[in-house]
Amino acid sequence: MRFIVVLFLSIFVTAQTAAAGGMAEALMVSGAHVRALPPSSEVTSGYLTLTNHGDEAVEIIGATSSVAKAVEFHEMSMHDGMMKMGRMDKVVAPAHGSLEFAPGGKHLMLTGLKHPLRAGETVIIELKLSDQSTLSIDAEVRDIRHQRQQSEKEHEGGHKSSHDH
Amino acid sequence: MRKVTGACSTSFTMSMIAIVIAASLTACNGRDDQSTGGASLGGDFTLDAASGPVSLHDFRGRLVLAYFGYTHCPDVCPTTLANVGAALDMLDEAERVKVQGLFISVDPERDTVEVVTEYARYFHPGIIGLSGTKEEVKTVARDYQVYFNKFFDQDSEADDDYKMAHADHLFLIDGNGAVVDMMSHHTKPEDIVAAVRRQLR
Repeated sequence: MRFIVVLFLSIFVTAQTAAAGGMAEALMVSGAHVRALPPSSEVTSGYLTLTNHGDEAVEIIGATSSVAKAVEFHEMSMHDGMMKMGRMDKVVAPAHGSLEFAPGGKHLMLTGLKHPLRAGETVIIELKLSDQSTLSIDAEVRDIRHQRQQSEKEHEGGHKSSHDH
Repeated sequence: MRKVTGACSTSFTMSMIAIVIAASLTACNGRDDQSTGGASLGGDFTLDAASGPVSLHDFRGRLVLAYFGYTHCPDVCPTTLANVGAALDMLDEAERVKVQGLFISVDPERDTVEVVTEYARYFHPGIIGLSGTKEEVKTVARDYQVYFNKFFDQDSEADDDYKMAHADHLFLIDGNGAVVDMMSHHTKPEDIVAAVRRQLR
């Protein structure tokens, strides 16, 4: 029994810090997800919370994903009643604090999607930190629509999938 | 080539800033007019849907939930459309037939009727996607005081790689075509439902 727990824990820890080392070790990821959007969408957004357990702030200087041409950090801001999406070159997870990417605030913008993302799929996003270490994140693709019509929507999606490869 | 576009967009952005500043002043007046029953905000329009031209007056006698956005917007537009879709699902059948959702693209260059139709339908079959020529869209947006402008990131490589700043208003329009409520992407589905039911009463 104890062996199984240890095995389970080691898998968990490995998954969290895959390809990590360096500053990445201080970070913990939670709630990582990417939005499933209509099949024709070339862009989507990703959200997650990074908790920094370290004594030093961690700068994230870039992100990549095999499903997208580019991954950028954006922040929505409101000026004179206009929502504007601004790109940030880097984001910072403060020491003993957290960095949140959430709807209406900061988000990861995935552009040039290579294929339509389907709910339930896992997308890997690599965050590049200022010490050149990387943090690999498994982000679940989520359908943001209301759940009640789900079966109907899946039916619809089934029709569409015939022509997107 | 890219350099030329960059220069154009800079001056375009500058002129838009002036318009936006002017707009933010009139926007306040617009809200005042609206609360006192004035007719300066909104009005009838005709744009293109997959089924052909669609006008606001086609929905006379029904409520319309109209949102202006664009499909390359990954954050607030999907949030709002998902909320509208959820709200439509929360209404009972008798109520739902009295409400029409509209998603009006402010980015007609990239959002063809086909693109905006698929996008809107994805969130709910009760939302119609609308597009038009740049001029048509601009006119409707101006009538609703939805100011928007296109901008490029400095290191953006392609001419079609731009973003839009846009007003974030979800309009509730009554059966006579008058704007009766303004919400935003922050408005929860249950609050959209409450606003709709207030009008249906």
